[in-house]
Amino acid sequence: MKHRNTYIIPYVLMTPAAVMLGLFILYPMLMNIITSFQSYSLVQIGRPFVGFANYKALLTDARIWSAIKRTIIWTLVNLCFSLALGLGSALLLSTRFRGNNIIKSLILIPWILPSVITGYTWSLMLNEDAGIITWLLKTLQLVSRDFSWFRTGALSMTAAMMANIWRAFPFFSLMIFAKLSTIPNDHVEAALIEGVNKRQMFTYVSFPYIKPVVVSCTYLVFIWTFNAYDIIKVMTNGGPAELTTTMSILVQKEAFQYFSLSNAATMSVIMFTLMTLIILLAYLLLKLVRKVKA
Amino acid sequence: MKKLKIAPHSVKRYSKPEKTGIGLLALLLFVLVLFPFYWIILTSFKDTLQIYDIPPSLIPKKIDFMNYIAAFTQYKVGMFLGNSLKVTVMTVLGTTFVATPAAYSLARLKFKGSAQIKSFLGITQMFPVVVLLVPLFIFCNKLNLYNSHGSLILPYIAMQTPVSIILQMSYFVDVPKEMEEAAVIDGCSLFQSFFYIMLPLVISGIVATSIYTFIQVWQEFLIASSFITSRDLYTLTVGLSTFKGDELTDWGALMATSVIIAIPAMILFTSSQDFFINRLAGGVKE
Repeated sequence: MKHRNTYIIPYVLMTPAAVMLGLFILYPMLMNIITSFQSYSLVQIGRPFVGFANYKALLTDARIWSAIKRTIIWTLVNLCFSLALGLGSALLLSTRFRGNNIIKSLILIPWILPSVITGYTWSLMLNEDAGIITWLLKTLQLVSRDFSWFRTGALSMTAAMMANIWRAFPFFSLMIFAKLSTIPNDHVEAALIEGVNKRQMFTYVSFPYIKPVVVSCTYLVFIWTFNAYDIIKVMTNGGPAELTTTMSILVQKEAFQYFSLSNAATMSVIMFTLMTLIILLAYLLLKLVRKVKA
Repeated sequence: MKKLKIAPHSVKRYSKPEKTGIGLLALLLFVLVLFPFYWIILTSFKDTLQIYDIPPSLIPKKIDFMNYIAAFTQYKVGMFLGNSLKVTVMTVLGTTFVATPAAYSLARLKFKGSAQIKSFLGITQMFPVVVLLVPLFIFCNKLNLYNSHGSLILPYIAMQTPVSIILQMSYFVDVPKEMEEAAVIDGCSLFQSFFYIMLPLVISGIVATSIYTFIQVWQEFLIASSFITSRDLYTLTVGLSTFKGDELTDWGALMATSVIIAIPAMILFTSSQDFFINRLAGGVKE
């Protein structure tokens, strides 16, 4: 029983998707690389080919190095804290305390709330005059009376990180919790018969079981955080004095404030290469660890 | 009889003081998760004086809707809302139209290159929007789309298509092969069997996938803030910046608008929570 022309139908069905992806994802990806070898700005006529000149100029540009440094710090801190908080709260939920179902259904609110709103909300809560968190810190005399989160680079970065961690950790919580609730009974039973304590239960039973989910969630959150734009843009706009400018903020500004398109394209190619390299490195590292263990 | 699930970290294994500790931590988690959200709603009902109150009040003195009224009269939230709805709905329809046939084809029909296409779809998840920003801008300029909603909708559809295909495929795969075979034996053409047999069975999955797309597009900011320059065309997330002046920020109206933005996403999410948790958790299993 076969349809006529069966061999062509799958391709026909794929066509709309292929056209959209080709035109708006693949072609732009390619164009991006080509643009990075041209001199192209909205304030000049023509776009001559300049070879590696953009890369050479940018690699000696202090702005890009400090942006790379900031992006890496931003990603690392966010990832560590969200993972720790997420794992912790997943374990907390898995104790099945009374009311854990309520928290379980509420915990995705931070993740569903649009990130721009998260940014504004934390700006308000950390505001110098109207911010409840700042007020609390001042009342407890933990900070001086004229304290502001947004005057120095380090504190502004911390403020944006808090907002981002609040947004990202529930993703870890829920994914890890979902996996934790599927641990086969016999694993747990065997461990109980062996008389393991709570810590051993985690290191020998739970953790090995949830590890794949932890790894794939970390991979996803890494990509999201590395490229994060909304929260930083809304809370600090890269300031003060460009001290919180990460790679994505830099690329966007270069393109839409200074209209230097070839520069922005080059920066984004560097950014993407860096991200891919880090992922590749982490992958090889994981493989190595597995080999050493085996 | 169904065997009860044993929780490896059950609270029953803890001593009394440890149980109190767990309770406190749970309370802390509850406050941490909910407080910022509560603060948005609370602030949206406060007037400017109350917002700057010291100490800040934790409960509203009265439920006052003036920030909501101001959002629609003083600011152009009605217009932003219309723009957001237009862009999001068109994107959702477009994505579904593009992704559904592709998902069906990849999940049910064997053809040369399907494995490569599937892995390519996974890889596209790695492409950050920032990397596509400049070339998309140049391309949309060429198509004369810059500063129009088309410059948002078309890239959005392309960006949402891969996830949409991947999610929908998981529903198509679930339909037993025999049902289709039976339809073919009864003389259905491929298109008839698709429309009469497959579609009714996977429609809930398609709807759930559309909800996912809706939530993603509804909150998009980077492209929307880069490609749209006229205020009249702003979407909601970009429109929020109009509340922020150099000197003063109208926090009340900003938070009222935030509530307006958050509500559709929350309702849609709650209505399909099972889908989100199960399918997405399934998606990252590998």
